[in-house]
Amino acid sequence: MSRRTNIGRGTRFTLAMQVGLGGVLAIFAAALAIDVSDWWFVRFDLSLSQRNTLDEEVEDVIDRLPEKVVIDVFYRPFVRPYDQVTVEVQSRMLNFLAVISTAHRDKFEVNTFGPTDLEAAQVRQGELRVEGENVLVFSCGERTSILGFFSEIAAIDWGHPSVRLLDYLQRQGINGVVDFRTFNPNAPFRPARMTDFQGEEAFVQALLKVSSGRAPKIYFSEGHGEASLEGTTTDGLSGLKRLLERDGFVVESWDPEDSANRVPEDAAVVVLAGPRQPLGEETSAAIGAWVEDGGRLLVAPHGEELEERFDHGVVRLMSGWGMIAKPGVVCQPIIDPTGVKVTGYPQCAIFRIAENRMDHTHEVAQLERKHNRKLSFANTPAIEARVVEGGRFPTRLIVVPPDSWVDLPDPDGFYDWSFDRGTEEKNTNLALLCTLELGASKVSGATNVRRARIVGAASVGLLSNGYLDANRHFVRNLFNWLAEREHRLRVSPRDPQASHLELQRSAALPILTYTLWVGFPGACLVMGALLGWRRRRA
Amino acid sequence: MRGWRAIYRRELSGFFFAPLVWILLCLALFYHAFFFLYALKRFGGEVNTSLSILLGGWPFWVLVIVLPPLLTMRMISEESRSGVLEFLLTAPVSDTAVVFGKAIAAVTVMATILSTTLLYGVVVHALGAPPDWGQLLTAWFGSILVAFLFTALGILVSASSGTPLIAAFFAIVLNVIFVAAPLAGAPTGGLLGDALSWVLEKINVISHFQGSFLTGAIDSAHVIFFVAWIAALLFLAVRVVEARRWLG
Repeated sequence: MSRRTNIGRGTRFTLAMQVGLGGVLAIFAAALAIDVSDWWFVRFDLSLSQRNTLDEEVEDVIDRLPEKVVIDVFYRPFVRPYDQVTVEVQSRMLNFLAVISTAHRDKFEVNTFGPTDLEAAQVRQGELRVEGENVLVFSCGERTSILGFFSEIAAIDWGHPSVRLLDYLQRQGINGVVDFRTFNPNAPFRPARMTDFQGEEAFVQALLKVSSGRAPKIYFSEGHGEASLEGTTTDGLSGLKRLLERDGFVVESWDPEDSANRVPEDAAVVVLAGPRQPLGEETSAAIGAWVEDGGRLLVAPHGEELEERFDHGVVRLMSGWGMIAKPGVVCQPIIDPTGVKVTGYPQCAIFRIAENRMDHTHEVAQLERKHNRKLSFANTPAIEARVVEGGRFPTRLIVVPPDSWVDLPDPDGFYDWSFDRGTEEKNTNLALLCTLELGASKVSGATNVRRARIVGAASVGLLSNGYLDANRHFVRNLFNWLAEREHRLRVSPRDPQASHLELQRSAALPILTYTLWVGFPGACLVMGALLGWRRRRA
Repeated sequence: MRGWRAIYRRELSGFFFAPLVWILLCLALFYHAFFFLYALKRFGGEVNTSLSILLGGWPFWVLVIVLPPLLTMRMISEESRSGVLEFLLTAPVSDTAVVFGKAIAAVTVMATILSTTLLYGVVVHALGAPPDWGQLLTAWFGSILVAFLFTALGILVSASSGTPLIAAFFAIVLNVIFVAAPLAGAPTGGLLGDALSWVLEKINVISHFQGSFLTGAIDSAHVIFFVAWIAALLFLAVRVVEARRWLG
């Protein structure tokens, strides 16, 4: 007490000032260290699932971003019984965005507006001139791209709702949940579930859209009975059009007759998707010359042309590059329920191609192999690759299945789906899709030099709505390769690694309950009691 | 810093050779068991999500807001009142060693309480559902850093206060501010709004913890965030103890 009285008011004040100043300096030093650590940082992903590590392809796209991308997330969970499924989609996407924005702080700014930020969300939406809930808005300079949580990011099976819930979903902008012609309001309720999460993929597509300078144009020829870009049936190409547009391409139709057979100057890729009539001599010659000049072409004949062999059709065009389309359809034995391989069924013409049937040296195939994806084909002819003038030999990107044969139609045009040793061919060197790169060419009238690229698909079915879902990644990668956008080759989303404990049918839950409620706390209590007893004795 | 180990041993034996810490541990185990079993049922037996609730959900934040002040409240204020601190400060150990040794001891107790999650990991692994150990251990490491930060704050408040209960109360209030203020957010626009946003960003414990540790990543920036704050708070605590020495 005596020392306390010896300290004067001035000394006390000085001491307090010293402590206060020290405190302020310490806090500013901490803030400075935190700021500096944000400029130079290293990050190690120690999770076994590598959930914090982005795919190389995604990293590549991010590295090429010209400027910072601002992502505004407007989200609000739905009411019961849709709360769980909507929260699942939202949290998965928010987690993904957190990983992205933490790993690339200089490239992204993520602003989230949840259910409690209504006012701020309205202000921000006004600035962005967007409306609606449950959307992500990507902005890069003047360009913006919008993704919907329950449209682009995740596919949701909304189950069978009641009339009241159906009305609620419609008010949330979820349409097409039921087919009103067959909708039975008295049928039992079926809950919603997420069927596919495409967050990573949609994210990259949105980035490409906002960061691309000039979107490359893809022209689909028309006027010769080609598959329709607007067609929504299984043989239509509406799905492909949507897919390419989402990937930052501009998709347009091109009628050679209307443009005096000149390929549009701004064409990045031209597609000849299954014309049923001859292209005409001038059109064929113009396309051929354009390709030789460094053009990019995807050509896929229609089955009818293989039978009729037009003079100036796409089959003839392909043969000029060593891709000989063969009549008939590729078939493979199917396995019946007893495990025996059988033939003679139309299902023989429907098969899947594993990654080991793809050329591992090709960038597009490498991605398929890396992600162990399979491609689906149906009623597709085959292509034979041959050396042509100038020593050109196309790459067989996908070859037929190992035990397949090319089934030929009988004189009436019917297939028997069985291998006929006398007339039919079993050749595992046949291809389903070939590519060819020609030497560097100087584009007429331009200063840049580019290599011509040609993709010959045995069937237009690969691109059609009917099989697009199964081959989506491959098709998109193929177009990106054609447009020489290798850095934009896509990857499929990774599912989060889950480790489930079977609670219902095993003894896990009772064991856990006893261990956690009784075992561990009990051990602590015994320890505490022992120590208390020892202290009392001491 | 010479002598901090002696202080650490003294504090630690004070904790573990008294029944109180075991009772605390028992209560923490009940608390964790309740939330873990609830999460397991809620998420259909998903082990990783359920474990991350214990090391990142609101039950975790409640625990780290409340427990460190209870552990640190007596460390300096009570010792100062009872005169033990005066002995300590005249002993051949520096003030830094005293503060650091006490802080490390409290963090060790917190780490023991938080390691019940690892124990649960072992149990579910034995039951056939191995957790993502990389993620779990990283989250545990991050949770110790969070606990260390709040312990440092608790020690500072304990050093500044004369009564343990008041120290605990103010430490809890400060912890709540640390956690809740960034969640509440700053008013948008204006100089004040920008300044507040800057401050809130600098004390955003949740985002620095959840942005890496909880997801299984170690990020140098996030480690430095915690180390910088812990160092600043402990430095302040040392200055306060030093001032006490002079003020008597």
